[in-house]
Amino acid sequence: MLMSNRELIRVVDLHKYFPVQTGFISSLTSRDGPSVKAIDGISFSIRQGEIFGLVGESGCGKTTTGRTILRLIEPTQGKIYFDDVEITKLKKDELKKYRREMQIILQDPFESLNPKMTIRDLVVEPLEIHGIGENESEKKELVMNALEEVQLTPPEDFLFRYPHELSGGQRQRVAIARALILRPRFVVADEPVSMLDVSIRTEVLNLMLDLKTKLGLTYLFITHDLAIAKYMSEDIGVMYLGKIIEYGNVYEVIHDPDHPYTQALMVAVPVADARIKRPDIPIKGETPQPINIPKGCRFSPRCPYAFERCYREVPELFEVEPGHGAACFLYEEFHSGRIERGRIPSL
Amino acid sequence: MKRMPPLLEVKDLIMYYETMKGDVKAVDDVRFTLEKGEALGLAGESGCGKTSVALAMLKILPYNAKIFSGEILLSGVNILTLSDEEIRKKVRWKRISMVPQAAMNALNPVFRVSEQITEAIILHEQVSENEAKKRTLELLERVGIDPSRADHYPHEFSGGMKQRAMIAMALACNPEIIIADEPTTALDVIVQGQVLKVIKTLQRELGLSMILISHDLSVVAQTCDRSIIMYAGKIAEDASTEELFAEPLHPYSIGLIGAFPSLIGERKRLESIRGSPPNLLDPPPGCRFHPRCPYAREICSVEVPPLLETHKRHYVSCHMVNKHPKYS
Amino acid sequence: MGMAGLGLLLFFAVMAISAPSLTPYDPQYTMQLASSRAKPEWLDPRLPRNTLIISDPGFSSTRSLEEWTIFEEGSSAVSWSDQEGYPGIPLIEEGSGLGSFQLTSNSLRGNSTILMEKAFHYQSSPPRRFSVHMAYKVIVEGNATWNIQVWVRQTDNVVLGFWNSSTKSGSVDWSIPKPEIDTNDASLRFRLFKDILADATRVFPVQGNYTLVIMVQTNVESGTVNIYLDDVSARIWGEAFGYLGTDNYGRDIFTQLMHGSRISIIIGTFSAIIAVLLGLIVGLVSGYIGGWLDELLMRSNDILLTIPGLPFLIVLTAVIGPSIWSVIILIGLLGWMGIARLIRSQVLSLKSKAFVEASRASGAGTWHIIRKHLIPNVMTMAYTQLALTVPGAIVTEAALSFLGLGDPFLQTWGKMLHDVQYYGAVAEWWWAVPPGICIASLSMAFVLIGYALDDIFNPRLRKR
Repeated sequence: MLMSNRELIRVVDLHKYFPVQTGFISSLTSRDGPSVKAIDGISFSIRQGEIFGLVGESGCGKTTTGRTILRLIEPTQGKIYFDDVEITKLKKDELKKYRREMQIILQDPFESLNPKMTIRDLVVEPLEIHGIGENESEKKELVMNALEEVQLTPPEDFLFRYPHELSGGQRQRVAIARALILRPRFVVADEPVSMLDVSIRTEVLNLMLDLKTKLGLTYLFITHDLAIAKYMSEDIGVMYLGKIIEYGNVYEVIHDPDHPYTQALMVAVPVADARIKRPDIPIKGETPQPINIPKGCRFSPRCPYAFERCYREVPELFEVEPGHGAACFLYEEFHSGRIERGRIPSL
Repeated sequence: MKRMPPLLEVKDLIMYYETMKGDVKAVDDVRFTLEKGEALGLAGESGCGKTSVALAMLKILPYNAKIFSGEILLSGVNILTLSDEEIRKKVRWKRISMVPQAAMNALNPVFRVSEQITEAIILHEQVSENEAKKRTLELLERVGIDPSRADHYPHEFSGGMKQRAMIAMALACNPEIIIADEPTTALDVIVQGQVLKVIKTLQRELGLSMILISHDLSVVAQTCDRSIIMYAGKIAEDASTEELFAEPLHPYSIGLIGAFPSLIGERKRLESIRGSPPNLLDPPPGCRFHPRCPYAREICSVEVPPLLETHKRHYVSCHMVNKHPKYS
Repeated sequence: MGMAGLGLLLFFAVMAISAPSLTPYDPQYTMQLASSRAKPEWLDPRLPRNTLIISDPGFSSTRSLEEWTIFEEGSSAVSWSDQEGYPGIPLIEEGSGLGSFQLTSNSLRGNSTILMEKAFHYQSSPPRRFSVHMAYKVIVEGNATWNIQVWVRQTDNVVLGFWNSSTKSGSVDWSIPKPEIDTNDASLRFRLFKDILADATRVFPVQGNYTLVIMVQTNVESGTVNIYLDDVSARIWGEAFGYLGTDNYGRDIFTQLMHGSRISIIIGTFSAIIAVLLGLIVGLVSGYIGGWLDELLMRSNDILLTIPGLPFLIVLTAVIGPSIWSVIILIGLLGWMGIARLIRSQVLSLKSKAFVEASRASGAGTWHIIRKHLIPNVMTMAYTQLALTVPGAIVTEAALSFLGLGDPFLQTWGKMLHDVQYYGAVAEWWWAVPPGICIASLSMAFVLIGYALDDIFNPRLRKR
């Protein structure tokens, strides 16, 4: 009932490269210096009303992706569509209109609120930027509604407090109120609970779920915590070194991961149940820096199943089952009959 | 058969921090034991006092921390009464050592990794430099770091490798107890798994006793034999890990375990614990959890619940549990 | 520490505000209050203070004649006239208005000699300067001669003749003796004592009774002679004056000190405000907008930083001409660089803060972010820098004035030090030391306040 098949967000072949600081002279002379390839060609879409989880370890590019979709960082290449309108090339004033529809909730509940502003000022700011609310009392009304929505009650108590007077969970609610006061349709949530205490996280996550239903929101939920991704999302995409290496329904990806990296991830996540013994992690080493991306499949140096093709070519996403794809040559090879089923890794 | 006396016994430890605003009652009447070869998890949210307990064991508390009462018995000797000199020579790093929080940042960036470990050995043991160097390489190999990389500088190590190097440093003098304070917090998922595996393997192979401090219950569940859940400076529940996670008794334990979304199993709506952790300058009277407890009764706001053994080696501090006919 | 600073600042602020009421003199223009380089009164009680011998020099009423002892020989009429009065000399001195001493002689009477005497007791150590002022007007109708002389009779009855108009026969409109009757006049000293280096110590060498005598002689053949005297004052110049003595021009040093605080505070704060405003604007724009504008501004910053401040200021004031406003603006223009760098680096760190990003995500434009998020967060640093820049400005101005490049119409503390040095009065410590102490203390006040502000606004520096 909540998810239509209409795509609200469509990302096509998105790239973001950050140039690395070189010397003064070489920055003048060369254009294609070394760069950090934070996002190296990803495409996906988010349906209206769904929560799409973007997971991966640090350095995989998920945070950059969230910001690039909102054009807080300008993409190097690629297109972003919001409701079938291409927003990649919009000029500043046009973009400002779309900013009302697309908002962000940031990770650090303290840093995302200006410590010198009162809660009222913080939540009213988006209204003032877009000229909503004709007079003070109307604005105050909207702010109080927003605070009530995030369960900061009674709202009058919070209006004139400062961020440092609030707990981490309360501050994050203020951030949510600020993001939602413009009634956006799409919200990027970048690790919204990872800096909160464990017992507070659940509250905030449940709040986000309730608000999604109530306000008809669509989320891009970015997290490194797979358990939270499973709790929140319908579909997820797993990123590694700037590419999406697996996507699909969250249950399928988690319980039946296809890509070797995803499999290793699932095995590595500890579970709060001492009775379950986890198998060993099949991969070695650590994720390289995004400045030294291996040739061919980026995962090949660590992959226990890598074969010759993996070191040469870059695999594209291959649909293993309907709606569930992985960027791994094993599946392509199996599908075309060149290898047997026994070679396919599984948990 | 008479049970061996525990290797470490913390008895009725009370410790406050003196601040400009008053006393922060960080550790209030904490008591537990650690057996030889046991891995004990100290779990709880930030500010519950778990790190303070660990610091007290090595007597590396900040200057404004005051231990009011209690004992910490290491093989029967109360180390709180030992002088600073004795602690430095006999206890710290030799019998108890620690891998502190954000340990990877504890490596001095201008010295090679091997030098730093060698220095720790020389400081505590009477060995020659060559012997210390040899031992360093052995230690690094044990934690899974290739000895050829021993002479690298810290910035050439990845986060997981630095963490493992710190574990090696903690093992330098063959301690009996190793305290790991949030050993995996800043690490990525896969690296976290690798480090935890190293810790677990070492603990088994060397017969170490370990105290693992973490706010992440799943880490504790995967590595520890026993678990203690602390709340607001007091112990809520102390039991074997299997029992604790299978059937938590204290309302806070239930709430906390229930607050962790699980990777395995059906997705169901998690229940949150309402309210927030108390301000330790002025904690609630009686049971410190009572303002957030869904089962609280009048007695909970008046009397501090004692830590009682409900059944074999399973301790809970909750009036409702203690008075339940099944457990009293 | 901040309280000490505030206390000091309050002290100088009170000094600045109450200066005009505490000190009735103009620091620049009220000269000749006492002997030049007079010492402070508290230094030596035996030193002579300003003594005005005549109480009512302007002859304001008929009773004015009562302080004089008048000896008459011959038959002239001595009276008080309200018809005539010394009008003064335009732009030089004011007259006391109507009311004067009148002497009338006519032919029936013949010769007459009038002695107007004023006796007084002198009981200080010998003064260095003594002057007499007198205005006279003579109306001769007919054939007559007249002569006016001014004497001082000493304790041992020796008479010193200070002035002799010499016998004249015509009318004279209001005039004063030329040269003026003043022991500072070398010809008078030579005439009286045959010694150019003598001074009023020879006039009043001992304590005792002295008399000022004005002799008026007339010889009327026919007709009438009317002689009017007005603005008759005699002054023993004080060697001690006020709280801090006088400078070379006889201006009250205490007044100069009091008024100096106003100027120093004004110059200090205005220059600092200009510097901080400039620094704020450049820092904000440079930091947030970045790009080529940032490069341009920072390179200009660097270039200006390499210019040595004081020599550059010296050259500029020499070219533009010294005036208080040029000094203020120049100090401001040369003081913004460090502040701009500080603000810029703070803006750079604020720029990447999460709340700025959140604001941009809400659709905020550049100016909105600068206004709402950056400025409030850099103001604390701006205030601190303001407090810390003022002392530099004060000292720079003092340095410029000391070198003689300050506004010549303003008596600032630096100018006072310049005077000390210029006139070689270094031994007169009551003149040389206070301005320096004031400069140092006022600067110290701002520095203490600045450090205290830094402590308040930068909680990481605070002790637990």
